[in-house]
Amino acid sequence: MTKKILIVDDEPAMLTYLSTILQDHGYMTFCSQSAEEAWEKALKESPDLITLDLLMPEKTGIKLYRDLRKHDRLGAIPIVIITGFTQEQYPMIDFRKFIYERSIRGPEAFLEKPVAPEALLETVEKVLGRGPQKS
Amino acid sequence: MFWTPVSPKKKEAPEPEERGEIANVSEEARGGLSLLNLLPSYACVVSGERTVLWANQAMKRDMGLVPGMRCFEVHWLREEPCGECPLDMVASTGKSFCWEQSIENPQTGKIQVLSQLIPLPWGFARGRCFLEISTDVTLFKRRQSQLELSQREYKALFEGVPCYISVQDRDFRIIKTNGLFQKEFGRAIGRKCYEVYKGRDKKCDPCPVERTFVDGQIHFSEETVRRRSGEPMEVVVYTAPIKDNWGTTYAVMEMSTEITPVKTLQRELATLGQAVAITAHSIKNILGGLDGGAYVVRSALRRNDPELTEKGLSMIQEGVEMARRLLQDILLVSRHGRPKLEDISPVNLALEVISLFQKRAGDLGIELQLETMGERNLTFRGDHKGLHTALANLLSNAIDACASLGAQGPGKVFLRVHELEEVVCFQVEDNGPGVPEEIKEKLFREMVTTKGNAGTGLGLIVTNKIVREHGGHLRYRSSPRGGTIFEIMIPRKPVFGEKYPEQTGLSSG
Repeated sequence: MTKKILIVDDEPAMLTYLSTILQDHGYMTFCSQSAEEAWEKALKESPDLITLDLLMPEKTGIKLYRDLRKHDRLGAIPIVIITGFTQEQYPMIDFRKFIYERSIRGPEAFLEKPVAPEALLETVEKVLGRGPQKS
Repeated sequence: MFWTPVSPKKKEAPEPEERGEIANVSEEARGGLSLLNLLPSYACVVSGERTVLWANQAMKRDMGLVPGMRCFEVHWLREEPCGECPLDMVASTGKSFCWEQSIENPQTGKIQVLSQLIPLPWGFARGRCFLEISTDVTLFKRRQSQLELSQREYKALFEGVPCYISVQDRDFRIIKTNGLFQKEFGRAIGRKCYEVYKGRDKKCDPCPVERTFVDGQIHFSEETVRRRSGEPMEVVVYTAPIKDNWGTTYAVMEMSTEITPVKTLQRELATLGQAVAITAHSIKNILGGLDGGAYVVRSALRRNDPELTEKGLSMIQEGVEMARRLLQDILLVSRHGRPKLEDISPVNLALEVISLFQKRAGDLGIELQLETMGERNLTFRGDHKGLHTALANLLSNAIDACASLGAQGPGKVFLRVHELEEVVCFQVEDNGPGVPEEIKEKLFREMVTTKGNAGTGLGLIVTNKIVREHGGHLRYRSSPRGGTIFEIMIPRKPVFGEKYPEQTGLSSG
């Protein structure tokens, strides 16, 4: 069965780019530009994987992450964090602290922007535990 | 060499006076004279003819005194009485006389003595006698001239060093200054340090002078002080204790060296370094966007999907647009000095800038308002193009901040013009989410963007640079409405450093 991936990013260009790569390699994609929309789509589509930009306005990326992890059904969905917000750039911000809480499972993978297609595919395949599917 | 009493039995016996002996002196007087042997000074009794009748041990020991010698022979190795001998004067007035003279000491050469000539009350064999007591003050004199020399050297140093020096008491009251200090800060004696340096009414905290008073050690700090002209000056301050004989610090010497040019250079270098880092980061983002666009276009062509092709192309277009903006910002940051000055009316400038953003704000459902206070619209001197860019940067940031509110809107942005006596103030207030705590510190200095790929991060650095070139300030604070207020203050009378002399009629290119 075709795997469904929900892509959450506030930049439309990033959504186009990521979804094109994933579609080209046989995944079905849903895109969300806001946390609220992403939450609804996650509930409705039950994706197999979610890519999430942390650096969305109002720290909503972080809130969405916590909400997803705490949800009974959605909590099991693997999450790949894709962000331009790197430790190297902002050494004073321990952004992983925003995500990690004792009770919450950490993300399955981290990717830094700009994301090379190969790196994205490799990460997604590894997290889903299987090879890509050709449509 | 040493004087030894000559026995009267040897050879023919001359008269006691000729032998240099005192005759017919009471036992009591002899006893008094013998006490003079204990003095650490030279003491002798001379007759009216200047024959040495008696000398104390110190004189006999040091002066090679031979009986019957005359005082000028002893003191001066002379054959004639000295021209300015006070003996006649003392003889005629009957009053003692004190003077300074240098005499020959056969062992150590010329020495300086303080002498006192006293007419003796006792009657001696022939005529009157005089007691001369001389104290060696050579060492004291040498010390005195050394002290005078070091005082001259100290004064030359105090006045000559390229530092502003003041000496302060425990109440931070200035008790002494050097010429350079007075030239730059005016007459300061009797005034408080913080008053003269900073125009404050209470002491600074921390204060290096206070610390030196507490621990008696040297301290230093970097301060921004105010010249007499009101212009700021950055200085490095050293404070050193001045101690009394008991080691207690009773005053502190404060030495300040101007480092304004060094600081300016340091800031410029730091900005340049950051600009390079920001540029590299922006180029990375731009390349990422271009790569992504190219990928999308290729994929769209394969799929024969015109809509996706369009999307990919607009990603490429956006990358090119970002590169253009980056280039513009780099040019502004690296532009050297000399804003092109012209008369600007503050309200007109604000209107021009706000009209650029009406459409964008409208599309995003953000309320954009101009408020004026003072409403005099008096012109001021400034670089129109530069200030236009600065205001546009702030407005653009404010709109972006509101745009991120999304459903929590509606966003509101105010551009305010306050016309004050000495300054023109532009305020840009938004009700956006505010500046994240984590980047507040770095706001004007480093690459800071909360906009992901959208901003170059140079915007505020550019804005800050433009405002500083006008001698103004850019600052921000949290707005009571939850957002942020950025404020540009431009002095009506331009304050330009040496680097930016006012130019008229010349284009800065």
